[in-house]
Amino acid sequence: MTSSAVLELRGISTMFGGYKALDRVDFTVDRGEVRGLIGSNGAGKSTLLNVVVGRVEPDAGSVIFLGTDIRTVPDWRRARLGIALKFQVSSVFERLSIEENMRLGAQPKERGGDSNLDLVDDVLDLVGLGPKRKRVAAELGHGERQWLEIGMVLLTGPKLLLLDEPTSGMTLGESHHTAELIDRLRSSDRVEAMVVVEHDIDFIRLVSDRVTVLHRGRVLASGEVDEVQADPTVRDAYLGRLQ
Amino acid sequence: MRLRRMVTMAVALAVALAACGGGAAEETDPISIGIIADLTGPFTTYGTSLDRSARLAINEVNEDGGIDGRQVEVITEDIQTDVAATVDKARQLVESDEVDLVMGPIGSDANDAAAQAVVEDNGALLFYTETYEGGKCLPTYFSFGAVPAQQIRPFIPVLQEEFGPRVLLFGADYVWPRRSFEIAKPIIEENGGEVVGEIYLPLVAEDFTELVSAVRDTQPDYMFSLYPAAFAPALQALDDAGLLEGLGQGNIFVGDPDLPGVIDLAQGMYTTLPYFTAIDTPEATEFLEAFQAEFGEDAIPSGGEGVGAYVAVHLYRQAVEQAGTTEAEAVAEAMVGQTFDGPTGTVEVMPSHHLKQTIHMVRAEGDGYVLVDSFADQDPEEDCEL
Amino acid sequence: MATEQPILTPGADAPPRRGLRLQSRRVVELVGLGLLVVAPVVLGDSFAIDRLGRYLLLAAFAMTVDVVWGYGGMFTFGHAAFFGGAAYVVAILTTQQNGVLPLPLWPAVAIGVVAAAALAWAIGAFTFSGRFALRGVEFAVVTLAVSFLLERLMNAGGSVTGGQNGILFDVRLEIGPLDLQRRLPFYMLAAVILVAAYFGLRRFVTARTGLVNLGIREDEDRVALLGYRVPAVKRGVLVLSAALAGFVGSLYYVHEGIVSPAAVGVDASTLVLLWVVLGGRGTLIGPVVGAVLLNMLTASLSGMLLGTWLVVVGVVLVAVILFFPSGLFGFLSGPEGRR
Repeated sequence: MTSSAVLELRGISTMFGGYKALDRVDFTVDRGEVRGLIGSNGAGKSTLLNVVVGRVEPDAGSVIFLGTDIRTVPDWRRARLGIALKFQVSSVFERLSIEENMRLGAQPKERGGDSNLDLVDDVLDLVGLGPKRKRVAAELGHGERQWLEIGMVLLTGPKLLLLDEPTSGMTLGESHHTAELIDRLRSSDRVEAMVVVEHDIDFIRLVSDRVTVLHRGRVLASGEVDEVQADPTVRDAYLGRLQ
Repeated sequence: MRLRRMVTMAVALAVALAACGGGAAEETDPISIGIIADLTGPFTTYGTSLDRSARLAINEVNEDGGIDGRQVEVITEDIQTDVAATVDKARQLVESDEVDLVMGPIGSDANDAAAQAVVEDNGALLFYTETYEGGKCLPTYFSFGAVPAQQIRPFIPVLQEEFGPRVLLFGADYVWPRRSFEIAKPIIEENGGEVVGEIYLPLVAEDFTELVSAVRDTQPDYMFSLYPAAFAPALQALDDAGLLEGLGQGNIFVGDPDLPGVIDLAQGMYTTLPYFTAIDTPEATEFLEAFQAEFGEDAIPSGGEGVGAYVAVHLYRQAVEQAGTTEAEAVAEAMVGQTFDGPTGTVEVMPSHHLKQTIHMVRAEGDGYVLVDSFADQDPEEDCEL
Repeated sequence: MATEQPILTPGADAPPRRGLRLQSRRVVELVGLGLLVVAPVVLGDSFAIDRLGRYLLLAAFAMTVDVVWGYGGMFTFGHAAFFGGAAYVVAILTTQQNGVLPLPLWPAVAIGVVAAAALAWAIGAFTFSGRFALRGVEFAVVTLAVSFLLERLMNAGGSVTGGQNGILFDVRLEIGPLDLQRRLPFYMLAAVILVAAYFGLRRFVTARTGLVNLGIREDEDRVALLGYRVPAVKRGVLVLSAALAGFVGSLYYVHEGIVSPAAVGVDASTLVLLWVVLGGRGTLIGPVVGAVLLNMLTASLSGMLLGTWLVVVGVVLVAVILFFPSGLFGFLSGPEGRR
């Protein structure tokens, strides 16, 4: 069955204790798309991404990546299949150098595996960390850390790139740089689709084609940014009228 | 800054290396004795006593003109109640300090290690002075502490007469108790006694239910024990079960320093060892007084090594003077047959390289031991032909 | 492992520095090698040389702990189980009379190494994988328990393990006609092993798996989501470390002439941690120096200051940690020191 969908979530539900973090969520991302994902705190955005990468096992529903159901595929293998995630709380290897961080993303994951080591220099330039390659990651500021992690996961050669709050802690200028970065990735031929989770609706508008709104674990709305922003239920959710 | 740090470290390392290599050869004139004793760790009491007894004797020898006119020097090394340290220090004394005689250690595991390092590897003389299981048979090894047969043979008839023929053997699970009981069983049977049970617990046990059950099930007249580490808790467990009262007690390990820990639970208990402060002969009293004058009024020569190290030094002197040399094998040959009138009786070095000596028997009464009997000339009965 | 190539390339964009730029690690290595060569000449006394050789094997042991803990972040509280456990296997195989036993030294050592590796594999499988995946403190507890239980087991092993007295070796360290059991020949054997182990481990930590090991120390989840099978990598590092520790431990105890329960116990496992901390975690060289210096200090002080030497050693340790919180060679633990 050839479909243009890179990622399909069908009826994903997951409970933490007695609390429904995700409730029958359907979510599809097509090839070439940058999908925004927004919602208030606790809406389930990060949980959704965690379900995709395999950190969280859903109680119901299916996860289909490039036409294959990956419910039973473990997290590390999903990464090798081409799913990459930049964590919500930016996670880089503090005591390693920036170069070493990048190499962990680029080097073969097992003996005889694929290597992207020849791309490290390019990616360092892409994220603007070339001059600092010998420095230790702990020395980086908030914004730089995000870029480092983005560069690191890029070097795994992903087909689906998931960015969880890529501008958190960034200045306006840095956010613009990140938006440019996403644009350049969109036009590259390796990354086939992206999901960007953000609080900042303006940033979403800048980078995304379409946006999905989550509220209390449910998909509230999905579509073009302007449409969604005009949707009264969305407005109500953000203004707190919906329960 | 970094460079300075590294240079400092390199210099420190070189200095440390140089200091470590400072083992200059001893002068040939004095005779040197090396003592490997536990001065730290669980065996501190015994190690300290070993060192003190040896030094007391060495001082006497030196004041008396030394050995063949040569003064005796002592080097004591702390083996920290640790087998690895024992090997290291034993080798150091023999190979670097080139001592003429090594005395010590305390534990039988350390003894095995020391015998390997001193006797087997280097052919040097080792004098072991602690009560142990026996069985060591090496050309330049001598033992001066008591071995099971000599402690047990005169002991059983007394215990039987006092308490009755039914005996439960209670030991820690290692070689000293096991071998001792192997030796005890025929002796008990020869005396018409009956071994109703034999129980071994780990050296440091916390749970004594097995012991309690054994006593309850076998109903012995007395318990014969060799449980050197946690004896008080064992007795307490029996007392809690109401089984201690009326149960006779005999053992071959509770020396003077160990008694305070068990005295309340061990009234009427009998013990046999080569030395107790309760021995009140003029010679023993003189020895104790000299010991305490030198090391303080609380100092106690403890258990087997209390006099073992002391007589060992005097016997060594006699052997060296007879052999006319400190060469290990010649001295070893001259040692056999040497006798000495020690503080607690006459001792004789047997061909088995173990000591025929007087074994004393005490009973715990009130807050200490009371001397009950002394058995002279107890043969170690060791099967060793050299 | 032999086909792994080191992947860190020399710095391209490092800021310009004045004068000749010496890599700190190279300098330390050169000094260390120099000292190793010079030591027998400086020492003179053949016993002191023999003792230093012993320290070199302990230093190699410290390096195996550093790879797992300093580089891999896995706090191992029971490494003596490998170091001494292999020695026990060798002792049993070379002293028991039973059918094909006793074995000669080197086949017994090979089996001892395999045994240590197998034990590590089992610990890794239990604590890193599946439902009982544990990390951090919990792994430390498991290793502590293994060391503790192994000591108990050796104590209770009757005539097989010699119980509390342990087993006396009757084999010697020999390669063909060469007797390497004591003194200068032993020292040379130990020095060769230490240097080979050092350079081998250096290659490992700078190669692919070594880098993953470092990443695991920082953030296991991040490593997993880059596509690595973290449990397998951790287990692999533990097995490698255990095998080397077992090899070195076997030789160490044959040289000692006796192996007893303390060899596998918690005290021994803790002592090596002290050397690693003192020298500097995650540097390889630090633990070597820490092991040698601390053992030297203990041996000389316990001879000079009977009774009080323990206190002095304690004071020295506290002083070092105060002035060098990351250990004497902590400055080598960053990316600079890894090159």
